[in-house]
Amino acid sequence: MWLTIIKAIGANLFVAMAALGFGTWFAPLFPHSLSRLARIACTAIGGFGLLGLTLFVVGQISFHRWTVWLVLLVGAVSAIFERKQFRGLLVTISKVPAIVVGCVLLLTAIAGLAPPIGDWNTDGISYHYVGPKVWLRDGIIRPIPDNAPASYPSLVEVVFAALRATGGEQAPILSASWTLGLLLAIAAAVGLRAGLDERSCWWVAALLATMGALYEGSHSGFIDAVYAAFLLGAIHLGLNATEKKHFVGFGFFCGLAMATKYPALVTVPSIVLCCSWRGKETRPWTAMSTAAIALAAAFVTAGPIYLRNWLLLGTPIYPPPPAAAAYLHVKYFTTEGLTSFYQYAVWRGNGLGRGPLAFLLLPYNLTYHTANFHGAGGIGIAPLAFGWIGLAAAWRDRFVRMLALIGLVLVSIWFATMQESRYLISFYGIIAVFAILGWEAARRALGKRGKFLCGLAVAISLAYGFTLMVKSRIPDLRAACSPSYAHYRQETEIPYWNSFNYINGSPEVTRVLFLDRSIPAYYSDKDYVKPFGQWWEQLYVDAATPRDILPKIEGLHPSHVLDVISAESGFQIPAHSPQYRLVFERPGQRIYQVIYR
Amino acid sequence: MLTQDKPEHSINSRLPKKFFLVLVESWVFTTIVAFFVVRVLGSNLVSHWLNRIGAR
Repeated sequence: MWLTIIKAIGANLFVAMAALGFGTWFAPLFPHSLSRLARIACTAIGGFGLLGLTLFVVGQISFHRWTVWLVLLVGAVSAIFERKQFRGLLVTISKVPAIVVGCVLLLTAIAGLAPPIGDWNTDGISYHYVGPKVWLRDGIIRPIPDNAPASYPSLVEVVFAALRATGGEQAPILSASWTLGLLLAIAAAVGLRAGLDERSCWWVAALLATMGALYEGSHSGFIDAVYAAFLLGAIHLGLNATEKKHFVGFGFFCGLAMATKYPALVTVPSIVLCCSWRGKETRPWTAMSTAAIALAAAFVTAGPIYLRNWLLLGTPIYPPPPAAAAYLHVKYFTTEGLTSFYQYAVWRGNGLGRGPLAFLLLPYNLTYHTANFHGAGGIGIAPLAFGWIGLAAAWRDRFVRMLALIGLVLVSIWFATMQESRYLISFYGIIAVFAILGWEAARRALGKRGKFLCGLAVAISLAYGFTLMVKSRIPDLRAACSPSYAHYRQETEIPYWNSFNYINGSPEVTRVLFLDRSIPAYYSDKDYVKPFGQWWEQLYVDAATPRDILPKIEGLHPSHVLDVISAESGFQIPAHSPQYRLVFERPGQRIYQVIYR
Repeated sequence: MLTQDKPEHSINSRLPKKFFLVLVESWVFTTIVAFFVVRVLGSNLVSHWLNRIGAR
C-alpha cells in the first residue's frame, strides 16, 4: 500500500515539475504588468497544457512508457535550468482562508489515494480514465471506437496517461489536489489584478475551494477545473495584453481550453472579442488584427486534436453537431445512435430551464438550487450577497468592468447551450473575485452589526460548502486509509468485479469480448472488443444487437466472452453452445472461452 | 466651500449613503435568511412556487 502511495505522489511531483518546465518556454509571451503570482500560475497552467499537447502529438506515433518518460524528462530538465523564474514568490498568508484552502487540498489528496470505483454512470470510469489506460496498453493514442467521449478534446486525459505511466492507477486521481490548486492560484491572481490585496486573494481561493459545484468538477477524473483554469488564465492574459506577442500567449491559452473541452469552441471567440476590444482608445483595425492573432494562435494550439479527429473519424468535432451530422458519415454511429446521443446531451444540458425569467432567476437558483441539475450543493451565498457590491465598488477600474462583461458573456453562453453546473466554473472564479471585492467594500462602509452579518455570510458559504464536501468524500477517505474497506467497496461498487478479477488474473485470457454496453471496460487490464458502446456507438454496421455479433465472433479474435445480465439485456450466449466453454460463473455473470474450429 | 456648509446640501449628500448602507445590510441579511429557509430547513416551498410559475 505504501509503495503505491509513494509511487503516486512521486509521479505527481515529477509531472508537476515537467509542467513547470514546459511553462518556462513561453514566459516571454506574458505581459510585463503581470503580478508574480499571476506569472507563476500562468507558467504552471500553460506548462500543464503544453505538456499535454506535446504528449498528444508524440502519442500519435508512439505512446509507450519510455516515450512518456522522455517527454517528462525534457520538461523536468527545463524546470531545473529555468529555476530562477520561480524564485522570490513570497505570498502574504491570511491564516483562516489559507487553512481552509489547505484542508480542501489535503482532503482531495488523501481521498485521491482511494482505488477507483463506480459503474458506467461515473464519468471517470466511463471515459476520462479509459483513454489513458487503453492508449498506454496499445502504445499509441488512437480513437476508441466503442467510446466516443474518449475522442473528445483530451489534453487533460493525456496528462492522466502520463501520470498513470509513471505512478500507477492512483496517480491521475491524486493529481486533482494540485490541478485544483492551479485554478485557485489563477483566480487569486485575477483578484489581485482586480484590486484586492494578497490577504483578500486568499479569501477568493477559500471561497472557490469550498464551492461544491466547483469541487465536484475537479476530482475523480473530472477535467472541468483545469478547463476553467485555462479560461481564467486566458482572460487574465487577454485583458493585460498590450503587444502582439501577448495576444499570441492569450491565444495559446484559449487554444488549450479548446483542446480540453468542446464548449470552448463557442466561448473562446467571445472572450477574444472582449479582450481585443479596448473601447475608444483602440482603432477598429488594431482590435481586429489582435483578435485575428489570438484566434490564429488558439486554432494552431488546438489544431492537432481536431485534425486527428478529422483524419481518423471524418469530422473535427466528434460526434459532430446535429446540423453537420446530416452531411457527414459519422464513424461508429448509426443515425438512431446519434439521435439517442443528442437526446441524452439535451437532457443533461437542460439545467435550470430556458427563457428570460429563468435567466433572471439564475442568481437565486445558482445559489440555492444547483443540486437540481448536478450542481452538487451550489456555490455558497457570498457571491449573491456581495457580488453586486463588488461590481459597484470597483466599477471605475476598466479591468473589473471587462471582467464583469466576460462573466456575463460566459454565463449567457452557458445558459443558451449546455447548462451543466461544472461547465460554469470559470464564471464561478470571476464571481468569487467580485464577492470578495464586495465584502471588502461592505466591511469598510458598514458598522459593527453590518460587519458581523457580512462575516456570517462568508462563514456560512465556507462552512456549508466544506461540510458537504467532506460528507461526499468520507467513503473515499475511509477507503484510502483502510485496505479492507477499499476491497469491500471494490467488491460491492464495481459491476462484475469477480469476472474482472478472473479476466485480469488468468494468463489464458488475452482478449475479451464484452457483449453488454453497460460493462465498464475500464476495469479490464486485458485487450478487449466492445461492439456496442455506452453512448450508442456501434462498431459494425450490420450488427445491431449482441446476437448479430455472435456469428462474426471469429473475426473479432476474442479468447473469452463476458456475458452478463444487466438493466440493458440478459445472457446472450445460448446454453450448451459448442463454440463456447463456460469457464467462470457468478450470479448474473458468465465467462466463456471461445473454441475456434 | 461655502456651498458645502449649507445644511440642506449636507443632508442630501448623506441620504444616498445611508440608504445604500441599509440596503447592503438588509440584502446580506436576506441572503442569510434565505439560506436557512431554502437549504437548512429544506423547505420545498420556494422550489414548488418556482415550478408553479414555470421558472424551472
